[in-house]
Amino acid sequence: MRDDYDVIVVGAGPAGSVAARDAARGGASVLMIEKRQEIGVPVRCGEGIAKVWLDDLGIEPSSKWIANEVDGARIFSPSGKVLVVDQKQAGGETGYVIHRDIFDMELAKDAARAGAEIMVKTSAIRLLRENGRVAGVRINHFGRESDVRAKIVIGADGYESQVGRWAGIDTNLTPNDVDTCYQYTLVGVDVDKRFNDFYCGSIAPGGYIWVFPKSADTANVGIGHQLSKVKHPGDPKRRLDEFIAKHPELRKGYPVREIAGAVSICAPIDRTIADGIMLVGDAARLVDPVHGGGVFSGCVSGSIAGKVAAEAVKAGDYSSAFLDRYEKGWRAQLEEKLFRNWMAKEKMATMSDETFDKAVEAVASVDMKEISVLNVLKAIKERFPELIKEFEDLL
Amino acid sequence: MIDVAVVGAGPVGSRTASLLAKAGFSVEILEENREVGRPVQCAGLVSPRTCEMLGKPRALNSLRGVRVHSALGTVLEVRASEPRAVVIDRSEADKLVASEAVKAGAKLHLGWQLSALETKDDFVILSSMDGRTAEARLVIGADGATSTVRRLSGIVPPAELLPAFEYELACGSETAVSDTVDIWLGSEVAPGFFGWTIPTGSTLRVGLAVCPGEANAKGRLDALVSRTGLDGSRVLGSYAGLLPIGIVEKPYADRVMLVGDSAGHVKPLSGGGLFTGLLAAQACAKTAASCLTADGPSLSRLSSYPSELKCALGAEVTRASSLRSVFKSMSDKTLDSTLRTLSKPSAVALVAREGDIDFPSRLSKGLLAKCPSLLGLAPRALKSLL
Repeated sequence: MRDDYDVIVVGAGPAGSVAARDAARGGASVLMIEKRQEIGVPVRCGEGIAKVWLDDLGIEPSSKWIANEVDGARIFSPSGKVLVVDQKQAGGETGYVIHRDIFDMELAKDAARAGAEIMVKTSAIRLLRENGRVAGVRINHFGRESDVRAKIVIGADGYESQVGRWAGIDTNLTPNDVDTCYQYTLVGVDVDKRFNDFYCGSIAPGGYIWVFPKSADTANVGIGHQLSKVKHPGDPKRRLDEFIAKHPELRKGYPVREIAGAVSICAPIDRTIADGIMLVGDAARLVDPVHGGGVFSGCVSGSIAGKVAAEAVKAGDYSSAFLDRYEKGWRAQLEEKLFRNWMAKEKMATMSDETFDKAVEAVASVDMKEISVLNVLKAIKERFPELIKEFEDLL
Repeated sequence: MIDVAVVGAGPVGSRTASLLAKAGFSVEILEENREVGRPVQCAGLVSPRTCEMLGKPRALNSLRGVRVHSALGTVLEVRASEPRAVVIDRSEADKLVASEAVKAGAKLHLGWQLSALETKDDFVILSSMDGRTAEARLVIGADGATSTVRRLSGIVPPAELLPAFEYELACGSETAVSDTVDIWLGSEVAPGFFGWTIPTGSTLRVGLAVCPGEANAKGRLDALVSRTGLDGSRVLGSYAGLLPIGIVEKPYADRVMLVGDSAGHVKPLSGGGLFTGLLAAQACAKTAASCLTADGPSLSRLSSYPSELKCALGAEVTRASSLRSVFKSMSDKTLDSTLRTLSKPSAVALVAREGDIDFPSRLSKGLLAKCPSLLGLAPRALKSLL
């Protein structure tokens, strides 16, 4: 390890690794640090990702990390009405159930191949500042502290991001904009591995329960539960346990992994940069508010931030005025959809079970070429215009 | 009340649980971590035979060569004509064996950290850190080198607990897909043990273990990385653990049995614990089943366990233990001259033809015949192998 780099990336999840990769490919010297002892572990993710975007970001689908390729999704309303969305109709919204630990490791290897240096068991303690600018990161590596200088720091440190806070970027969340999550990886279950299943309604207030099959006998079964609707700390786990108890095909399984976590489900935040700082992925709250997925937007934002970092190094300009290219870049690709889906989430969080039933029925009765969140909203608009009055201009 | 509580969902615990569940006993596995197979504490190099025994987890790379480096620069290289070892993903292997146990009817509990054992007349009460309890007629401690079951039941630990440390390094693809393992000897590199570099197909695992009491395993590993010219600037994972060496003579107490790392069921020369542990699992399950069927796993009934273990493990572990004593007594200079002696084409050919990482001591007789001068190293210990 040197003590001076062009770019330090804090956090080696997908957003961090893609940022490190693309900054290094652009010619910058890059150090990526990860606080855990092993990249990709522990997995805190439902592990369902879409597949159409991977190619654009230079991520080659690999049998190493694809656990299962699904044909589509099934959405279950509270009374048991089912909306089946096959791969063609899903417009790329469904795709693979992956091994996130291996996926993360492979993306980190890509970053290493591009020339980025990587350190594990290394946490950022604070930002170094010089003349009012960011000048690097103070790190703790295996219990030893040292200063590493850098011109740009990319915060890819996830939901609990500290880099943003240290840099004075407002990433605060209200309890309405957080889903607390609990998930089991169950083995010995009997699931239809062709579909990712989603159960909505009061079963998971403000969120949903998912069953993502990793194989015919193994599935991730989890719940996202809006934090503002949690009355007791154990609510998400209790609701998930109740759900599993009611489903014999899941009840016979046993967990080989259980995880708790949280994900932001907020509208896009006002600012994700400061002088010498860019936030990417979950740290920048770039998570789809409807389904809580963040791998796609993490990789997209990471790639843009990595490229902009390399350009900034070439130009010798690390000001927020220059880094605004990143801010504009991710907004052009992601903001409209994130905002619309946030509006949809806000609405869904207030919907009664009866309304969910009606909505699922309405959509199921329409023959759609492509079922995306947008098309679903359009279909609902036809039948229940009052449901989406507040944001119909976004459709 | 259940028949058996297995503490630890590593492959050895899960296999023991699986065998007992298949035999019709009620079995629960209590795993302290929230994920089976994490954190990984293993280099993941096993024989094709052991890979088969684990239920065939994916092989990340196949290996058929080994280069042994002495501290003085001698390199002994042996290549077999077919793969003699495979690299596996330990986390996946652990989940595979745990799934097998679950499908056989064992119940698996995660985040179950054992804090107390209370032995009653005909059962044991196990308590967890977070206030859960389980009652079992028999407790099997498959909870690793630092076994809590062993400590709580007053069983003596394995003779040596060697600190081990390993990195997973990103590296060039040529290095990663190599089919040759490097072993690094020497009192500087890894006193009392050795260092290794294992190509995994897409990364390089480099690690070492040192004799007990040597505090700075990480410092020595960093030194090994730089002296072997490896690029240590791209570390994807770091792993620390203890290698338990030395079979525990009496691996049981009243209604308690130990199996696997907790009882030193590990190959003494290489520190590999999967092959030996899976064999021990069979002996453990067999003993447990017969005691549970009879009037209960009382102390006197469990006394047949050591002989069952001996039967399952065979002579290999004992012989390899003697060889480890000889190895530990050797100076860097002696190790160097030994490697040079073994470089004789007939000796290399013998290892290439018959070398088996699960049975390293089997070669000792043949090698001593080809290189009789080696007998001088430790006449008594080595003669006992002939």
